[in-house]
Amino acid sequence: MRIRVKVNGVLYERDVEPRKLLVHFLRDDLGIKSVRIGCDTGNCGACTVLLNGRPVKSCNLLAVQADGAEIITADYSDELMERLKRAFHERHALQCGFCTSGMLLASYALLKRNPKPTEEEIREGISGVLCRCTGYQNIIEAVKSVAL
Amino acid sequence: MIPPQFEYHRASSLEEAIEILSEDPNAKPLAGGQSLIPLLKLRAIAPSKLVDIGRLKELSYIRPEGEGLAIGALTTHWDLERWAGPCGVLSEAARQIGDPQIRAMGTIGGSLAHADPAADWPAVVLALGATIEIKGPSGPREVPAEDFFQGPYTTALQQGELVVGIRISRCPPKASYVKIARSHNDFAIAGVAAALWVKDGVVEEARLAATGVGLKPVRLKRAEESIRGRRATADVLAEVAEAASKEVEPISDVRASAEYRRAMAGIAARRAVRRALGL
Repeated sequence: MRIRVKVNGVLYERDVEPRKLLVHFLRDDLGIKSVRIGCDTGNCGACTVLLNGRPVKSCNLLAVQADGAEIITADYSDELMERLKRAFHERHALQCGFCTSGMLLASYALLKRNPKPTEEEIREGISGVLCRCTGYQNIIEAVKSVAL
Repeated sequence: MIPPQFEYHRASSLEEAIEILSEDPNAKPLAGGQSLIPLLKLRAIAPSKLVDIGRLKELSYIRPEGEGLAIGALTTHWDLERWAGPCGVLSEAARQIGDPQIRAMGTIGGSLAHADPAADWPAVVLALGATIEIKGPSGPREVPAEDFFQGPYTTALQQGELVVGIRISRCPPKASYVKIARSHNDFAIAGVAAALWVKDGVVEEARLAATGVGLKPVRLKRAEESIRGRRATADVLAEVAEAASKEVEPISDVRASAEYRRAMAGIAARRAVRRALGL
């Protein structure tokens, strides 16, 4: 089936098998490797992308479901995303970096809707992404620093 | 993990979806896919066709109706989480489902039709006394929530039928949903929804329903009886908890033992009543 998606502002049109997951489409067909495959069971959130502004797990979505959508991955660049990336760097909000794409996108989606979240709202906002290195504290600090 | 092969149909109307689904017993409807796609990836199911109803925008709405509410089946948990009108318990419950990513895709109708015995919406719609609106090859029909859930992953839906909406005739003035789970985004070990009508401090009417503590969501009729016509004193709340613990029939699984679930059903029931009443 032929689908059209806009990823980070670039329009792509491709034929996909209906059973292809969005994560495989982004990584293998479009070569966007910042989208991670972590648990591949919908739990870890490393594959998070924004679909029309909302965070979704791209391993839990068929590529055909995203037909016509605007997708944002961690490669995206605007002022908010750049501030987030810098804050993650400065606050040591990553160690191995595997969850970072998902964390950035979950945080970006949160701050877009809610520019001044409370700590509880930040925790809720990133609750769909698991990090096994940092204990979350530095990630929360980084998001907080951008929110201020 | 890669799903098995299937034919993909994107329905452009409800009628088209019903037609395809009623012709092929192995076809499955796809709404948000947050339960269906994991099952496909695990190859627990292998449908011949997926009928994608996710773009039927006319099935996504939340509308006040008289003293109640009408909700479209394709309304996402995300949208319900942000609902600020009557039946506020919907927003409280939606917040407790999965995580933001799941809520962005998952739909209330999909969750009800999937009928996971530990899902959150079933307890909420039971406590709200909701009616499930169904459409199928022989037309529309309505089924009370209490008759809709028949067992684990089993509902009153017949072949070709879809959940199209949820109707609540009267929003309770006081309501709450309390979920006890291993972690924030896990399924319930026990979840209880409480809907209460109170006059001069006396609970005139109570509807309590539980999920995660049996093969299907259940009304907690004895717990309801123990508070109806009474004030919610500490003693009465203790009776509610005890009645709820006694009347559920939980099973043991990877999340919790039956014994623990029984205890948590009581705690969740007491907390739900307290939270509904602001105690």
